Amino acid sequence: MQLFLQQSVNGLLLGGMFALISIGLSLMFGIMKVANFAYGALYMLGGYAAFWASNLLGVPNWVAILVAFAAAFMMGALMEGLGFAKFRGNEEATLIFGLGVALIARGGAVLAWGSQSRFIPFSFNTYRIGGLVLPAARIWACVASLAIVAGVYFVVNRTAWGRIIRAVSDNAERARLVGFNTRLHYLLTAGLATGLAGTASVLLIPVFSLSPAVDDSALYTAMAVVILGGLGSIPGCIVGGLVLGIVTAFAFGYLPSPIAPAIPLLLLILTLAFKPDGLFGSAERAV
Amino acid sequence: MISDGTRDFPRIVNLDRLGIAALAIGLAVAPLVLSNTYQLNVLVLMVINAILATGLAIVVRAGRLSLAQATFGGIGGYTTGVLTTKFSIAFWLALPAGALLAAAIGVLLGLTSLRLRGFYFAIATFTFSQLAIVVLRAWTPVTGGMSGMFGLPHPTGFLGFDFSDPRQYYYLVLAVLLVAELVYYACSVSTAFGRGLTVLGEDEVLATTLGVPATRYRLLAFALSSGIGGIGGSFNAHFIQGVSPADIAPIVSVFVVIMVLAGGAKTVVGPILGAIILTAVPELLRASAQWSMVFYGIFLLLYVYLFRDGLLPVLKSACHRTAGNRTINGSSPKTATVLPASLGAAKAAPRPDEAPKSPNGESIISFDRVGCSFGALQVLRDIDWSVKSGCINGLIGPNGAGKTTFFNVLNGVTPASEGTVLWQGTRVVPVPNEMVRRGMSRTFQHARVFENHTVAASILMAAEFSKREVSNSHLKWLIAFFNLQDAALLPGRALTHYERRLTSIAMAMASNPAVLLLDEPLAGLDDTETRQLSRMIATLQQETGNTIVMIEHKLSEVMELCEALTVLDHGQIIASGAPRDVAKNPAVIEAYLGNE
Amino acid sequence: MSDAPILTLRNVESRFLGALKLVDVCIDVNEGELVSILGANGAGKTSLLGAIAGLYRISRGEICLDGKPINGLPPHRIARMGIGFAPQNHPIFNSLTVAESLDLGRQNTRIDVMALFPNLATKRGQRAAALSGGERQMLSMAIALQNDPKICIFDEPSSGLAPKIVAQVFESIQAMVDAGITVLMVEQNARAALRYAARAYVMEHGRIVADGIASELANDDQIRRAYLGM
Repeated sequence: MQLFLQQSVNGLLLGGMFALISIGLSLMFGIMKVANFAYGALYMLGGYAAFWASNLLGVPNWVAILVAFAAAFMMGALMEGLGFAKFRGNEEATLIFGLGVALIARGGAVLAWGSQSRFIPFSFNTYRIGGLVLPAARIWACVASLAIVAGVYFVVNRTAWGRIIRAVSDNAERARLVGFNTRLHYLLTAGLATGLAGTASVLLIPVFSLSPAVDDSALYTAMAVVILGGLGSIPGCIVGGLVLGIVTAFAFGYLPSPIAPAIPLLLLILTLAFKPDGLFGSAERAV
Repeated sequence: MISDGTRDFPRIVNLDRLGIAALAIGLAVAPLVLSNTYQLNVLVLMVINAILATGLAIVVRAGRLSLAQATFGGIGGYTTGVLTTKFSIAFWLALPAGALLAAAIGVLLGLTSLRLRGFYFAIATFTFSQLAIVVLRAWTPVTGGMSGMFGLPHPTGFLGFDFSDPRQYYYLVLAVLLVAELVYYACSVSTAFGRGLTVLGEDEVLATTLGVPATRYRLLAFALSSGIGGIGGSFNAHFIQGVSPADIAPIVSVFVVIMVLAGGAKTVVGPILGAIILTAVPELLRASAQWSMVFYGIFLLLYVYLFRDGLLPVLKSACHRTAGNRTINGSSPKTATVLPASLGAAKAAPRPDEAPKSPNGESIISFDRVGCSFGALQVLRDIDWSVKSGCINGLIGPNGAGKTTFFNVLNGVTPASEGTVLWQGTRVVPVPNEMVRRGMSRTFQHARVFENHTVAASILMAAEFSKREVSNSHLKWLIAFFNLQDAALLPGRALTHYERRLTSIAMAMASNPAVLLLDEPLAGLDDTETRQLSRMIATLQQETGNTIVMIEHKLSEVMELCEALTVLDHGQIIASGAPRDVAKNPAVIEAYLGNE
Repeated sequence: MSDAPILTLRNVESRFLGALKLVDVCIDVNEGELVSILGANGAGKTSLLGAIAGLYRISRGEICLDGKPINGLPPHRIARMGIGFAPQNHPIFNSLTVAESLDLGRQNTRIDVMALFPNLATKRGQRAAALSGGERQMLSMAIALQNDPKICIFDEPSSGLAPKIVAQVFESIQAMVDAGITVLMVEQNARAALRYAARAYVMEHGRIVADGIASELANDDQIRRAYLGM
């Protein structure tokens, strides 16, 4: 029973963290309509920007978070301006472009900084309530996750700018004819999406640490969450994150560790096979 | 421009053949020139990579990007590894077992990801590759777990060959590559299957509408692709005499993808070229794993910015320029060879084939209380309808009334949720490519043609895919009837809107259907074109005696052409009968015609 | 009402892949007028509208909006300067609701858009993807009416629509003109266009081959037969 409760708590916390990792990718899919294979790489680089700012310049943690956001924002905007804009509509080219950037980033990161794990000093308290282990770092990450997802949802669906980028995403040429500078809005959106990835990276360093290898796990996790929750759905991040988190926690809690990773992978393949629009996706493909 | 192109074709074909000959000679001679063991090892790995790349290219041609080719290689390698070391089975018996297992798993993967395209499919294959790694790492007693298996034997020698010698191993895998190449060639243009697979990758909707069985063809492509991958993996494992999970890390599959892209999946030897470049360059540079990664990344960026069709066309145009020829863009020479001479030459005056009639006088196709819903949305309701054979039937109604869904249910693109569809009085469950074979073709609101293939080739392929008896005279007649002689050698993307419309109708007619469904054939045409095409449709029906069902908004043409008219509104039939009577029906005037 | 035309084109020439698309085109649209452009497919009508909206570059000539040259500016700038362009086949924002689509800019002050299109008023909360063909065309025109454009430009507003809806579309355009909005309209349906427009230009092979008062053009047998297929 204790194991069940602990794994449930682990699952919820993992879920929140997974959602945090994937919100940027969800934006890229939903608004930019881009499958960004360099997402993990930008996540990783944002983390390193914060790490070096903290380590070399000794900035306080909240500044490090801003640095991560800003660095990732700029890289994302650059990728959009030089790459995704050129390949818009061409799915294969977009995929390959992202892959190319990811490979360069990954190889370059190891060459430049080595493959050892890095940490940022953060509060590492661990609360114990009724025999359950609740690490503070994870709790903070979940709080941030909920706040960020809610914030993004609000901005996209309830503000004027959100209407504008949704219009641009839907029909860029018509949006231009209504007076909107679509290139600028694409740049801002791409920057925002990757900036959020960078932020997530810093917030999760205390939990997952930081190394060049992080880009793979961030990418796979984000892709899995986004697929489970429904591509392009912002609340889907929470749904997908929770599902993935709980399944992963229970798999690792109850199965021997060589086998455990297979369970979330199976879940993903089965979702792709039978419900590619997400576990709770609607059959809105009518007419 | 086209006449210049035909003049240049022989030169290009010669250059192609010259290039392939050079490649073949180079490959045959290389191990005799190099003596260093390390270099020989690299050569062997290069050829093995080429085998994997060639296998992957089959799936890429079918319009899917798989990130699991190295995994199938691993399945092959592990299978032969286990069979040879734990069950003492000879390599040559274990090899087909490994290939079959890889092919079977490839089909399974294909089944789960049938409806997925592009990114989704890539993620599905990627997830599968990770799952395979987990399984192979965990199943330690059989697979050796994290460290894998060692001491795999070289393939047993025969006829005096000794495969522990790298040079002889090289020629062995070169022979395997040759076989793989032949399979790939068959999957490209030289067989009906290959042509079908190619257009399936280019425009799936059009291909299935013309009769290409998408599922069957794709699954066969997966089977061949993963089987070849498995074979390549086995030869790899028994060359380096070991296999481990590191061999099937996702990044390795990505490398195979890069090889295919580098060489280009549009040419037969592209994958080989890609494998050569991407194996040789890092070795020559003595690159570390990280520098290799950066190199591959830069290569991908160059690919996507500069040479999207692979390096081969770049090399070719460089050769052309040195040889002083002009470069040609447009349809590849390969499609020109698909045309038989009979389509061009004029012998006796061509005649259309007579459309098959319904044997027992039954209406060829009809709906019995058919309904169609998407979730909560009911698009068609309680449709009782039968086509009037041997004339033009009209289907009109306001936008959103369900007319296109009506067509989609007729030819099987969308299943009916209620009721029965009857073909010649017998109940059928329509599937697009089967309906073509039975004798029903359709066109689309937006004229769909094959962008990269000529009009003539497209019409020929349409006849071929339908698997129906069609005479060459019929096809020649179609080209003349639709005035497509001048456009016959132009690729789809070079056609005007009107030519696209005519071509799409000609393609639908190529199978000599009993029933032809035309979805807004006059859309987007000006008054002159509208008059021309509507007269053509009338004549077409008279000459072949087939049955036409036409959705249209241009009412004067509808009234003139149709003998029977059905009006749809909000998914239900509100009037049916002779056009004059239907036009006077007050419900129709209220819903659709207005008081003009 | 000022004297100078709202929109002028002077000797406009444009090319596409080297071939001439527009040749020496001169057009005036005065404030409050409904002007129509007629002609066969390929005559250059859509190229003309695209050039005005800034989607294509012109190789020669000048396009002026309210006296200010706009050729060469990017489309979003031209839109902000006062051109409300609704392209062919009513492209709208499928994932936005009707209300959101009409909340992208300022409300039109000359005409009550919701009163003009009552069908849309009842469907404010619906996603645009769920609208019928006629409603999509109306939404497209309503989107173009935002931000008080100096001139509305409609490309084949009646194309692909049921006859009953075609009448509604033309009536709503008439209502816009009655409210003082300037409209330039490309139309395939010459008969209907000439009934509503004040003046019209006929194009063929990229040139203006006839122009004048709409009723005069409609009654000119030669022009009707040669260019309008009537």
